[in-house]
Amino acid sequence: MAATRDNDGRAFPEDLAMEILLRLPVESLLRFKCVCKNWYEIIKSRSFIREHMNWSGKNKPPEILIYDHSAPDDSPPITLISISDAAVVHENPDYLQRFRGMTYFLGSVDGLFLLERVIDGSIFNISLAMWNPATREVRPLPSPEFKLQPSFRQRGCNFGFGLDPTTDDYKVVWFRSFWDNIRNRRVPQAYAAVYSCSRDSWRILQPENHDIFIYKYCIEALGTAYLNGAYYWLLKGERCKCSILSFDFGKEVFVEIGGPDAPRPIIGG
Amino acid sequence: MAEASSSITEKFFLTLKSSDGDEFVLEESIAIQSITIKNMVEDGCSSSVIPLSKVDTETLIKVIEYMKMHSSTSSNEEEIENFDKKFVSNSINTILNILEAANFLDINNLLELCAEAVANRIKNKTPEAVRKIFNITSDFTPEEEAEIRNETPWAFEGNLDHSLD
Repeated sequence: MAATRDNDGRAFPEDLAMEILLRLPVESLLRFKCVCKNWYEIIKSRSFIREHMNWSGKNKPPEILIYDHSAPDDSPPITLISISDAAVVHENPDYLQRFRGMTYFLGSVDGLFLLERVIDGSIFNISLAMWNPATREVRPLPSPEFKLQPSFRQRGCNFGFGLDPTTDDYKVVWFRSFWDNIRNRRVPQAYAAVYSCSRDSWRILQPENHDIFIYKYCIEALGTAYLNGAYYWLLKGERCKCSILSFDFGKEVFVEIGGPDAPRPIIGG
Repeated sequence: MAEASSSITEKFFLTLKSSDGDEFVLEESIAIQSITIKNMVEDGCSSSVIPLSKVDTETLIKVIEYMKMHSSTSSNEEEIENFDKKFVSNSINTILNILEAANFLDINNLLELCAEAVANRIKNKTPEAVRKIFNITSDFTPEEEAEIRNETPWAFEGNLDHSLD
């Protein structure tokens, strides 16, 4: 139904309502979804959500979320800091504190956070969740069907979290390598999968090229970065070699980029 | 229309006519903060009165007040800031009218000022108050509305503002 106001019953133009809605905090938008169907459609639309995020990014002071996973039980593990011209404000809203059970923050993009919970250090009992503190939504991720053996012990594990700009879809890429305790050797294959929010499922990535770095030596990354639809890991390999591995969230493929020589022999790996 | 040979100090005046029929004479240099008016001047259709059929007298007075302050070379930043602060303390209904006028007249910084002001004033309000301010009739059934409220009950908690201004 059209929005009307004033004595003469003119419709308040929708594009002007948009100008106002763009400037509202998320909490107000969630409340105003029930004003009328028209506002509901605007506020729920992907284009509005993206525009609101871009607008806030440009015009609102940035906020930093700090998670201290070694915080003692009686103190809050999460602190929000907003930085404006005037002051640095520390907040500890109650609703942020329910993630005590999560073990790690794996990454963030556009204000979304990827969380991991590990139970008893088991390679099977890992649960992942995506969290949007602004809407307070938590999305538990299903488990990918990695074909693991009980004799496996994890050697290396890496995550990447980012946006696929071609489909406007947030994705998680996860790759792991294992040691086989029975055969007493490295499992000669890495396990990789990609999760897409819109599919709400994992796709196991089969190695198209077995020479590629992760399938040979997947170990902890020395550094990571997300940029323009791709995730990058700086990985250390055998002897003095480093390699940069990238994952394209749109094409869902790994690409290896030659890395620099490490300054000295890297122990372990 | 301004001739290229006219001296710099010479002032040109425009007459703006509100939807209520009231006429206001304004310096051209001030009035062309409105891109709509600027385009009319450039197209040479400003020789007589410019009719603003979508802007009533009360709103036009406010808009002219704003344009005068924002074009005056004598007003400094602090003065403008104080003016803007006072300007947005008008009633929400007035600001909504100015917002519509700023949109029609294409005065971008006035549009932004008003949109920001309305957002600030309504952000803690109840959906009921927002409906009344925008004169919107809910087209949700009570069940549908309850369902939406249940999606994020926390957004409806706390000290919400029921006032209409």
